[in-house]
Amino acid sequence: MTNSVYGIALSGLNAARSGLATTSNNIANANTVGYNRQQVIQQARPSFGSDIGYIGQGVDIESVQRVYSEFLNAQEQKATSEYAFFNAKYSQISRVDGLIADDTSGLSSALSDFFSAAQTLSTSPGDLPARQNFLSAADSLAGRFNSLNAVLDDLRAATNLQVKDTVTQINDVTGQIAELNDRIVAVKSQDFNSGAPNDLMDKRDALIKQLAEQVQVTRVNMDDGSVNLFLGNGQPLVVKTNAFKVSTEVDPQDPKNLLVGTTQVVNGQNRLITLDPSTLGKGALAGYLSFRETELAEYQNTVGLMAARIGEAVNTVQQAGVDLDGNAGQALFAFGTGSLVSGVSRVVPNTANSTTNPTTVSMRSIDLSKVSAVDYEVTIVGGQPQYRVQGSGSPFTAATLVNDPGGDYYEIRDSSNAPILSFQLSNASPQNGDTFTLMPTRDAAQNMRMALSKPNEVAASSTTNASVGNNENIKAINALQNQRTLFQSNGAAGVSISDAFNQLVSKVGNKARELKVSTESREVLLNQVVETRDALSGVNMDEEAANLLKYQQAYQAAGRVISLSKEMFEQILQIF
Amino acid sequence: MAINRVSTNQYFRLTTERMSKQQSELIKIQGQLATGQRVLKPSDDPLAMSTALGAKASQRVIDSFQSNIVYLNNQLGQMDIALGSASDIMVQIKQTMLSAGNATMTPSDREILAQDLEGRLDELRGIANRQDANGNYLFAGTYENQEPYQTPNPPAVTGRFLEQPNATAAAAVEGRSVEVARGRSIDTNITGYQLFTDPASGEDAFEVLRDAISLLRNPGFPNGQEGATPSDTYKKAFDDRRAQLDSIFDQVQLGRTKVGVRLREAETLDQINAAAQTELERVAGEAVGLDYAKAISELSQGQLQLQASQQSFASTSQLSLFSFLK
Repeated sequence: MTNSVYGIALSGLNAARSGLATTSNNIANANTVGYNRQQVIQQARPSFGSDIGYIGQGVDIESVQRVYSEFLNAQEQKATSEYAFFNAKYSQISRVDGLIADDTSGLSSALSDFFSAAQTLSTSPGDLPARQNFLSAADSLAGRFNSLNAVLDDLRAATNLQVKDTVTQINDVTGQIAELNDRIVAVKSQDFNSGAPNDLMDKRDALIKQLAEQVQVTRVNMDDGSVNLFLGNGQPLVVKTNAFKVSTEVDPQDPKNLLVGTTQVVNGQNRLITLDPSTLGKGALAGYLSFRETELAEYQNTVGLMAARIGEAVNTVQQAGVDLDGNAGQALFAFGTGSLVSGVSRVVPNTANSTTNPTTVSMRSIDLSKVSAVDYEVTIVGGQPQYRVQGSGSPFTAATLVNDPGGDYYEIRDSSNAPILSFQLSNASPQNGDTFTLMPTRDAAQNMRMALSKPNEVAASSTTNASVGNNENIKAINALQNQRTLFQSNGAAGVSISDAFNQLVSKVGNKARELKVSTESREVLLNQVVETRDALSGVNMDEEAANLLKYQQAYQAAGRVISLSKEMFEQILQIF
Repeated sequence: MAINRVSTNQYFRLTTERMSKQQSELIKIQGQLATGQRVLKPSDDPLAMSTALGAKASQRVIDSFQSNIVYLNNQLGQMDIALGSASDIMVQIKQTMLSAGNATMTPSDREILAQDLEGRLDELRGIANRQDANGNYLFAGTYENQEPYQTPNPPAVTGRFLEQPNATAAAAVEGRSVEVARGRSIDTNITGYQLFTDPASGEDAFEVLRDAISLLRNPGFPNGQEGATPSDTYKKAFDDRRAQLDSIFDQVQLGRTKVGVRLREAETLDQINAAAQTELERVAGEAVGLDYAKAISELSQGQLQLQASQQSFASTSQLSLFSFLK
């Protein structure tokens, strides 16, 4: 009998000691990221049946379990990706938000200064200092367009850097997850215990959460204890002990662009298959890419469109006038060194395009009064180009073929069938599946410059007679300031250049605000999930203190049982 | 799921998060107070920001209108003064011409008058060729760098007026105007052609005066005899010159009136522009400016909240069962 009492007491001592160890471990890990509190699952040993009934045999420790909810964990993973996506976008847009309305970097004051200088020149059109002042103002206007574009380019570079960091983290984390998969599977396959390696699993869950911050993943739990992770488009990231790398590559066609994708073998060659932000779902990577390809592209195109449009309009007036030497006016603004069309636009072929049957696309004409701040995606289907607005997700439309003795070309037309732009293909039978991105006004703000060298060349006059005081033409330039037809896109009522800029500011502001609200609401959601998870799985010190007491008392009591049974045994011995 | 269990970590995290939120709110208000602006970036209030930007752009446009008005006032003011002097001279010329009609004058009397008229002619030409501070000719229309009435060389040669002696062309070149309010331009100049040319004959004041002077010197008495009654041809010619000068005097008066009207309009527009400036200032201020009273009360409220959070954190974070375990 005493033997069984010893045994029971010993099992109690053991259980209490495990309880104390687990409690201590909980206390020690109270601040460990991803740690789920653990508890000892005890179970009464099967009773010993006797004729007086069943007598307990003590306690067994079934397992040490982490307090963990698969459901909450999945929720947290999803909420994390959602929050990270909006936070990434918001963090990027808030950088434009502060700068665009600023008087020193925004366009507003440069535009006003340009037209003020034109006003001053209209009072004394023959005055060389006033002419020089006008040229300087034109130069600063071009400079302001350049610097505004540079701000956006810097932001593009900063976003690319973030993308690169994100990809590095993704690869780092997936590598660690694959390694943990390996260890967990190894530990679990040694079936000397029924438990699971809680700490390894906590660590892996924490890593998956870290990964979810960078990119949205689908998690599949395997029976052997490993987890497989897939990207939104179904591409695998981690399968068992293999981690698949995401890579970045500077676009050979456009050094300002950083391509993100997975390397795959196409026709025996390693090709980067780019990841589309729309199929990536959420997460910071998708956020950065989406900001770069949606908002940033739109803002840069808008600034470019404004530069091209005001430049073209001023040039048209200037070229209709007469300069101080009686010559016809020359263009005041130039875009790059070539034609206006090549100076304002950019065409980027896809890196995966055919190299055996190469095709180049060149922009032929752009109607700046019709084009809007969008990029076009052109793809070759059945040897013919089809297009759609990039990022719109709408179906492709066939570009209209125009036969021309100077070379056939294709037109992209608006809803009333008027051409918005036209382009030519270098190859009569282009490779199907080749794609190109047409950016009609992307480079305008970057390439804009003041093209006149002498103050005499300002065509302030409307007449070729020697009247230096004629200010008709400079007044016509002035009239552009409030010309409401200057910016008309998609049939909307036109706006003046300064209103167009104000609209851009308000668009950026609204978007930043919207993203701020989205980020905050996602943060609230994420916090709620984290709270719920923490409430379940986090360590509470008071609780652990109570547990400490509980297990201490249990230990003391079990110890007392042993000393008691020792006393009982001695008493029995004394009988003899 | 109701939270009835709070992990220690969660407690610390939540409290610090709350405090850092309160702090960032305070920093935002401090930024507003430091700049006097409620809206610091477009996202703070996109509509207000774009309203303010629009108002600022309009203010700058009006600024350039106002500086055009300053130019206009200066230019027209100079013309007004010049035309005042021109009128005075023309009055004197008229008087001289009247006395020249007197038949009993001796050749030396007429020579005195002729010299008097020559002096007036020079004065009048000086006015017609007057330059502004930049050396531009006030009455040369848009040919501002060319002297409109060149000194005859030899002096007897009729003064040359460089404007085309053609009413429509002259009117066309006159039209240099500057914008002084949205959609409103005021002519900055009035040309010599408009002022000093007899509309009927197309001859200018200087030609007429020179004719008159030469008539005084060579009245064309019958048989060249002094003292005889001047021929009808002479009288007719002299009366014609007088009538021409009268009509030119009217032109000068008319020009002066025009300049006066423009100056008055410029003054009115100046006031309207100034009022618009004030209004735009108010609009921009209302859109993005700071309500100090409100911001200060928000600041003290924020401070109070943060303080309360800090105090409650400091006291409740001490509560731990461990402190009772001995």
